[in-house]
Amino acid sequence: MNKEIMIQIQNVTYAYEGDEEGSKLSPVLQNLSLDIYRGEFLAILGHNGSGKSTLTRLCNAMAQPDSGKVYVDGMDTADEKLEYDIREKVGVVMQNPDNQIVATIVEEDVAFGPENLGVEPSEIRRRVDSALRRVGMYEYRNHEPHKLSGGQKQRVAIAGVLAMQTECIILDEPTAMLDPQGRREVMQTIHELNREMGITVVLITHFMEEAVQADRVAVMDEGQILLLGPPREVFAHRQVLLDSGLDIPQSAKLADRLQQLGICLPGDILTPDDFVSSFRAYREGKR
Amino acid sequence: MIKDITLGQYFPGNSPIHRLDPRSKLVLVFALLIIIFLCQNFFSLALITVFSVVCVLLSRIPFKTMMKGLKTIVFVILLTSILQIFYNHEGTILWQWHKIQITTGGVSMAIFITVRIICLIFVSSLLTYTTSPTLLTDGIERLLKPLKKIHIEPHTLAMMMTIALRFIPTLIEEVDHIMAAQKARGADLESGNLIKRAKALIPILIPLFVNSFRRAYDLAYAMECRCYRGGDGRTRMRIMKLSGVDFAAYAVCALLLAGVIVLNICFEAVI
Amino acid sequence: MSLVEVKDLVYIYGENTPFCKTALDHVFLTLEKGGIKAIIGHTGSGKSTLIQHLNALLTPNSGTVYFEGQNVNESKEVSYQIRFRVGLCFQYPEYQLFENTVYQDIAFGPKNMGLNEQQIDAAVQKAASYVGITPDLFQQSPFDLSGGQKRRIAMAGVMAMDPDLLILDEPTAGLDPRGRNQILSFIRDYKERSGKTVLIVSHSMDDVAECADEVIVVNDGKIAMQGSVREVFSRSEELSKMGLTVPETTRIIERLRAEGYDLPAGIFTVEQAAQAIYHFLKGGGAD
Repeated sequence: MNKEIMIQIQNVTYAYEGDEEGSKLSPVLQNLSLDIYRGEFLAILGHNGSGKSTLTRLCNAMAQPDSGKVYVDGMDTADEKLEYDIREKVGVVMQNPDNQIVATIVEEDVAFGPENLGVEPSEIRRRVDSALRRVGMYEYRNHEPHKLSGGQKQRVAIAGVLAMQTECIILDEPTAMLDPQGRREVMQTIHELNREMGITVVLITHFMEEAVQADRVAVMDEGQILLLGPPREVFAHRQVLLDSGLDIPQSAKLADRLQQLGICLPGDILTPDDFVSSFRAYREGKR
Repeated sequence: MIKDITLGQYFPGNSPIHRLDPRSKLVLVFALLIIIFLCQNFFSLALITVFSVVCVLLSRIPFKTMMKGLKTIVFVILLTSILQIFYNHEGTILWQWHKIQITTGGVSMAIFITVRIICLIFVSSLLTYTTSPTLLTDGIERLLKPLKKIHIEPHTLAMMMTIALRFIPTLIEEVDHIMAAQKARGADLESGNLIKRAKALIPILIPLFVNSFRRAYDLAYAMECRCYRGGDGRTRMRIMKLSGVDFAAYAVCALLLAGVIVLNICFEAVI
Repeated sequence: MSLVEVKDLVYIYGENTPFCKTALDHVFLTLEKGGIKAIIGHTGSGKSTLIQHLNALLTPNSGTVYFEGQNVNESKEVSYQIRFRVGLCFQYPEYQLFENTVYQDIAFGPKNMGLNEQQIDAAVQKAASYVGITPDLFQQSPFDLSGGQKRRIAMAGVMAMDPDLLILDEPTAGLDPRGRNQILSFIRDYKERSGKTVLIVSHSMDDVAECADEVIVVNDGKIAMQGSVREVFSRSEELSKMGLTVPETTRIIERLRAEGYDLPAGIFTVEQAAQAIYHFLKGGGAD
């Protein structure tokens, strides 16, 4: 992975406005710094209310930090003139698939972003078709969105972001409202975008098995980043995760429990694959 | 399932009528409605009737479907016909009972008006049968563009229509869901007097409003994230261009108008 | 007498329209009193339709539903009264709150039952205590509370009717790990304290593994399996064909079994897996 920075968050503090004029609630983000690298797959973990969604708003210039700076590809999000250039670079997919689809026909919805950007009609056509093919929804281009499944709607939303040719996609709990089938579809799609198109992916989630597949994991609590690093490093801090209301992948839990019983399987175990191969190695070592 | 309901009555197809530019369709339907009202005798009415039927045949919309559209206004047709039959006392008397009389004038007026209403319905429902709601909205937006000069934003209007069309099925589903949930807690929506029933709607309306505001907030956020900033500088993926079919349709319409005028002049008016 | 008895139930959506679809196809099902049962099935399998028949919200096209021997569709009055005995809490119930205060919202069901002030108060207090809603929240507006609290209040609204069977549709959907664990432990608590039967509908196998005693699998409008958690999860291959995933632990054990290790089938919790592996390795581990 190259280390070019896509989004740079520097010492950011942010508080929402209170009910009274000019008053502020207690800050949701406190002196937070985070560099998101171009082309990486970053998972942000945190319980509800830990400030994850606020971070999204700061990254696409929908909100400006009270103090500190956010740069997207070198552009300062506080610069109003750059607002739309920033949103063109950083696309957002939200949790509720129903509430982010604007048009009555799938392809019209995917075209919504490029139309707003004033792209030439023939170019929009080309982008829409290629985005829909990318997410495997091309056959559904003339369907009505409300007749699609949750997973399909989310993929249409992803296509809508792709058609803007964004370089970075932030997904705010995109699978929280989906069934296992839809969850698989969406996860597969975003991994493909990251791998094949080099799109920077920021996945906000509280499913541990989704975070395990990322390049890096950031754990947020109380408006700060508690842990940051490759999944193996982050998930080694079991107690920190549990204390901040998160969970540990079952494979890791099983390995931990076996260790308590006196069976030490080799290596870090986070996924069933890890477990099976580690178990195999253990058996072979015993032989 | 309720979500399978298709909004509007669009009947997908690829007939010449379907292929007409939605703007042309809007203009032509408007023109046709005027032409139908111009008819003054059975000869011009016959011309228009034949034309309407040909249009329906061309569109390949099944007659059964067209008739369904008539069902809703059968009452209006019957009422106007009956009024005409009993209150028009021109021509020879066909039947009389005390002061009530039916005359040839009344009967022919009733027939004339019924046929005219049917033609009106056929022509205007062809518009919605052969044009998807999306195209229709698009067509209206582009047709109304000149209104921008007097500070009416056709884009905003069209966007509102699009969002309404998009969310109506979602909200219908939501109402269904909330109703079931409140019924499960013993809400009684069916019995009692009017006031009691209106009160029983509160547990449904409040969550519906609260959720709609949440949806609206989410949607506004999603639209802004996708760089929405109103109609200025916005392009459209779909290019609307008038084609041969459109020009042919305009020509036919002009001929029809001429025909109706000629027949009106040549024969005596009945209306 | 069984608690619930479903006999030859057929339900068709949108009969006589082009969209007509058989949602339930000659379903037979018997539920005995007591314990926590789970209905699993992918989206569109018919599970939600099935539960709405148990409290007579939907009327079957043919077949009968008996609750403690009583035909729930016998008369309008019976159907109405049955809703208080079979409490149904829908998916995302927090979006159905409507009263000015938490107390009033929980009291809505008991009020409809025609209880007097005193009985209503007792019912509200008890229901709130089941889900950890303290009396200091009673006079607040439910709309000002957090998502997790709202869901618990909505659940209390159904529990307050003191139903003999409590049905919860996707009780943990969209919650973070902490919220999810909380809800699951409240459900287990409720079962212990009230002694009533609980039926949860879920596509999360982890939830099922954690709290159910009996599992019913619905697929294609039919009951595909019914049995103990162990019995059902030991048929993981069939489950995945129905678009369902088994818990990660089960997956690990299944993979080890497939590689020829002699481990028992139908394992679904970390502890069971750890014990099985421990005994396998300590017991000589003969392949």
